[in-house]
Amino acid sequence: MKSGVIRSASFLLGLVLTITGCVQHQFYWGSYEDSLFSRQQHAGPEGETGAATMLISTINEAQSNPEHRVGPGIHADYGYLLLKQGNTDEAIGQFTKEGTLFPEAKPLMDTMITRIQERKKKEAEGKRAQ
Amino acid sequence: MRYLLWMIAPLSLFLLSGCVTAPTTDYATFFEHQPHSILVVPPANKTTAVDAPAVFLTTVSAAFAERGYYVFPVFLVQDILNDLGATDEGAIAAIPPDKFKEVFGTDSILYVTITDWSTSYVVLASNITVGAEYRLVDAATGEALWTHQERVVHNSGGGGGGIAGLVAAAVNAAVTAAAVQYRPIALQTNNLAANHRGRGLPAGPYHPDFQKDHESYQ
Repeated sequence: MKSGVIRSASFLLGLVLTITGCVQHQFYWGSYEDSLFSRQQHAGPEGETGAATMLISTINEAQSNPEHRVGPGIHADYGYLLLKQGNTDEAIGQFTKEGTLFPEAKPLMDTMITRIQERKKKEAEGKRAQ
Repeated sequence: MRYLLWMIAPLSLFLLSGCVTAPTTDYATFFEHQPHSILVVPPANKTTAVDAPAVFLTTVSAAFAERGYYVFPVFLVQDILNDLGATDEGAIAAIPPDKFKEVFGTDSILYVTITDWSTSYVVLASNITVGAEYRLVDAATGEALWTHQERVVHNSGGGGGGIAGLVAAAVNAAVTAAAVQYRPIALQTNNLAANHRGRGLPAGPYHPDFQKDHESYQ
């Protein structure tokens, strides 16, 4: 019986926190975690295309409201999806943005950008050699 | 209304605290190495549910970032670890913490072990249980900064409503095994773990309480 009460209390607390938004939010998340779950459920290019759509909407929503601060990882994750789709220039743009918004991410974002540029350079050299 | 909720929420937390084990964190070490960023590695799994770690990994980011931390994008991290040959929990656990600092530039690493991921059926309802052990480690020194256990049991309830209710309950039970049923419980588990006042994660640099809440975490 006691554990039943605790369970109900724990679930109610979850509901209260979720529904009322009485917890202060530091960041705007939009559908970031939905996009992660959707990719987990639908592996491969199709799931990634769907996730990319969710992320760009989330970024646009965050940018349209000055009180919203886009959540950490969202630009980086979107950039990563763009990179997988072969859109290297926009990927670099998103990685740069993540590193600017969050200095904690800058070392990793710089590594990603350097790798992309090295790969592009190699590809260009490969083409010239043919 | 809002005022009332503010009063209820801490009370619920107090009630809830009865069902989790005592913490082992000494916050002195935490504050000594106050992290700004958290790298969540793919969870280890003590359960028989093979998809539990993958689903759980999608539910950690916002809960911990909302405490004021930079949380690295989990899938990018997972793929980089794969590239480095760390494809399973054993290989990930074997990576020295300072290697994470070197590769990702992170201050800390959050290791999660899933301890519960199950559905138990009673006549007209089912209980979904999600439990996890958390260990936050300083990337530079390898010292444990915070450990925590959390377990949430969600009772789907039989509901009322005569025959219609019975049918609804049967349908509920048929789909409870799906990942989609576990996900909200996992989200709640992570939210509770991060937000327990006094035993969760002290506010990080992106939180207005940063460096103002040390008295609550000792």
